Amino acid sequence: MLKHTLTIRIVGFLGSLILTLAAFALIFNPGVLHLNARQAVIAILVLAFIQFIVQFLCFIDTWRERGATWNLFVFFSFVSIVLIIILGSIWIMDHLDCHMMMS
Amino acid sequence: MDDSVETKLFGFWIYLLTDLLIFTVLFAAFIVLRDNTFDGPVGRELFHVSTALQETLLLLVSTFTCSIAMFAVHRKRKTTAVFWFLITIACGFSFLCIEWSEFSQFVHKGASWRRSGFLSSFFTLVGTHGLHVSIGLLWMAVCIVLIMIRPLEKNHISKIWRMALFWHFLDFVWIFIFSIVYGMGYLI
Repeated sequence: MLKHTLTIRIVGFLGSLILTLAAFALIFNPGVLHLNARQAVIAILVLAFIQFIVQFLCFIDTWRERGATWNLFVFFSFVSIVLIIILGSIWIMDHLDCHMMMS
Repeated sequence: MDDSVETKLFGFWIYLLTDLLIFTVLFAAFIVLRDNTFDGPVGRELFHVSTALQETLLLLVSTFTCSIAMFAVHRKRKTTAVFWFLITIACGFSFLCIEWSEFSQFVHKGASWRRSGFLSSFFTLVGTHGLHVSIGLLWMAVCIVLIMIRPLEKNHISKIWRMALFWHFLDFVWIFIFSIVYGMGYLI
């Protein structure tokens, strides 16, 4: 049984460490993979999402327990709210910027 | 797991997610206000990526030692649990010290929250996270006392687990702070 094992935590730690260092290598020197700044930021965000998933799976084990379905259900509905707020503000404020420029 | 423990955990889970909404709004504000520097310092001049790296590594180690401590709590090994929670507190406290010195450096350079929209949103977002870390440290100290004076039965393990969950949550938020604030603020 995987629950509460030590190995999975150490794997999670090493995985997060590698992902963190990779993200910082990109911030220090985005040219290392021939990326421009915008592509480097997208790559860093992707690394952050991967690290979030790694840490969630390795350090938090309630999602494997009985009755965790509701927790996951609420979690995903909140994540959709988070995405709507973040993407919505970026979209609307960028549009506003465009219109202000024209006037 | 009996019903009341499960219900408490679910309630705490809802609290964490509403806390996530606070951070979401602050993240959205930062992303929108990032370029409004009002001729003040921009992120690229201000941020030291190596400082952010130190902070990130400290929080990463602390979230790992916290999960090791929970591992010991589930096995009812009190001394081991207290030892790992103390290391977690030490990491969290050094994180706060570094963050505090970073903030005071910024203010000293004239880049306080009054300077521009960019800096207001920066201080609000990172400061709110720092406040959460301070509360988490206090809570962890209380839990260490709880481990020392009470038997590790189901009810107490659940209390300690909620504190650990809060600590993991703070590291999740920090992952996105370093990517969005330091990554995005430094690169574009």
